[in-house]
Amino acid sequence: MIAFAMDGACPPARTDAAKELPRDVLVRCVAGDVDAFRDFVARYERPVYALLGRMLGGGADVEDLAQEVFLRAFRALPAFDVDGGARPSTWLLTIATRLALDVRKRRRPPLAAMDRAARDVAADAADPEATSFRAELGRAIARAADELPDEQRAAWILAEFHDLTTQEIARILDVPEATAKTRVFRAREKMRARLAHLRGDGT
Amino acid sequence: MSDFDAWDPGGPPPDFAERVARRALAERRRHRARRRAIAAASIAAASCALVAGWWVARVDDRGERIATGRIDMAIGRDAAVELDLGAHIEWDVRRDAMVVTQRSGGASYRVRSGARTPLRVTAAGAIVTATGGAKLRVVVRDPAPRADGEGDAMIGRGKIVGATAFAVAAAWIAVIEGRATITRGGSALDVGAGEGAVVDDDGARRVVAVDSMESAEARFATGADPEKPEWPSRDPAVREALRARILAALQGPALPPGSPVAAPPITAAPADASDFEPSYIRDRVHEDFMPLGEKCYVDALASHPTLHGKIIVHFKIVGDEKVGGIVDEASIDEKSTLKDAALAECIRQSMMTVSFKPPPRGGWSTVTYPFVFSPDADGGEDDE
Repeated sequence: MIAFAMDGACPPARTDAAKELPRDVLVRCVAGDVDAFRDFVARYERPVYALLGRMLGGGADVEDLAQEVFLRAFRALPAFDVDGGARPSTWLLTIATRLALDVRKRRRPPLAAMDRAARDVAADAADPEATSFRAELGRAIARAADELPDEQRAAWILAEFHDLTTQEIARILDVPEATAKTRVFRAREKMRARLAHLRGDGT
Repeated sequence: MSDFDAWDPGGPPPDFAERVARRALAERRRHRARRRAIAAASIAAASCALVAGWWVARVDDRGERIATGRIDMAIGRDAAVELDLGAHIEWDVRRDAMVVTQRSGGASYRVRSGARTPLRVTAAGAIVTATGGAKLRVVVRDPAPRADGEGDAMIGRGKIVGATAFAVAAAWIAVIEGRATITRGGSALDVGAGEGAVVDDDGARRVVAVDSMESAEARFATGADPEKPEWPSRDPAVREALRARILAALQGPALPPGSPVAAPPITAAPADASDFEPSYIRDRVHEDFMPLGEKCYVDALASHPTLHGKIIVHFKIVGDEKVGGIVDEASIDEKSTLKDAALAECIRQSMMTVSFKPPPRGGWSTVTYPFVFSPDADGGEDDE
């Protein structure tokens, strides 16, 4: 029996400034310091990579896209306002989300879904012993999330895995806050329904 | 930790940050190289544009032209010139003046109002200076021998000049609007609108044309005195040509050559005789008619030594502003007291040779002029 933390509209806003890059490093990044930019990438590579992986379902192109996200950030950094109040992480997730949505639009969803299903089956067949409950759970979540509309999927991933507020999600997706809130809510409803069999309560 | 964390999308490879940093660095180098290339290309393009602009400006501001037709062209930004066929000029737009050297032919210059520098035309050794708003015409009479024999033809008419067409270079300057200053040999002549001047080895002198500036220019171009209309009496062909030109200018019907009493042009209208100043008529008659009239009388006295009396001549002056004026009709009044047919005809024919300026208001003008002939004294008085 497992329990998903799906209650409530959104998790509270994350205010942990310590998770952001130190200001002086960020200033050097804005000034074009490549060493500082390396630290910038090292600091934010995991959330960016995770977002792209979840949005696109993994694959080799995730790394290419992640590099593209950081290169776009590198080009845009000279215009970044260090004291403007925007968090670099949110700024990067904005770039990554829009890039991922753009890629998904260009993709052919049925084929992508079929590819992932085939990979799942192949993985299971290749190493059945390695199949653990958690891995099965992860794949189930991925399949359920893959069935969400792109905009709801993005809103839900940003809320669920990156602890962004509705306001931040709305800014990233460039939609009204109410729309972002609705998307997160509907995504959660759908995920609840699709993963109900794993909860064991039949609801 | 949420159960959703079971969905592990994987993480970046260990050297991800390093690879991204290397790509960023390489991209920056490419970007800087591209910017340098663009800057170099821009500088090269700007240099080319600068050189091209300089070249175009240079072509506009300095040059030489021999007109193969009527050409209207700019001289710098503030002046323009219309060249007659064959006119030859060199120009150089300098900071202090638009300098033109007119070698030959005719050219009409215009200086833009508000021009910052004057136009300075060198012609026949004189310098004509005109400022903003001026319009002037300059005709250079080349001293070189004419290949077309025009000079010889003029010699045949007993007109002017020497063994070749023109002995010296000369220039005709007519100011149409504004003013111009003509300097030559240390002396200066100021010429206003409607005035003309001739420049030759004797210096610059103002010309008062008896008819029109165009006619004066035409006379200058052929070597005649620009102030005085041609005297066609000794060459009937020339006189007929002049008459034809006048009539054509008046758009009248063609008249049979040599018809002194032909009807005036239909389109012409009579002008009041008072259009002419009496003194002008008297001067012209004294100057052009009297030598011939006296000869007529002297010839008549040879046969009739006591011949005397009054001959009243009626004559009609027709003319066009651009061509000049001639006597188109002349007749002897029956009230004349001197009854000698040969003398009367000689007088009539002589009167036909007199040239006048065209009637000021166009059309024609009739004049009655009595002449008193006496072996002891000559003279006459006008009675218009």
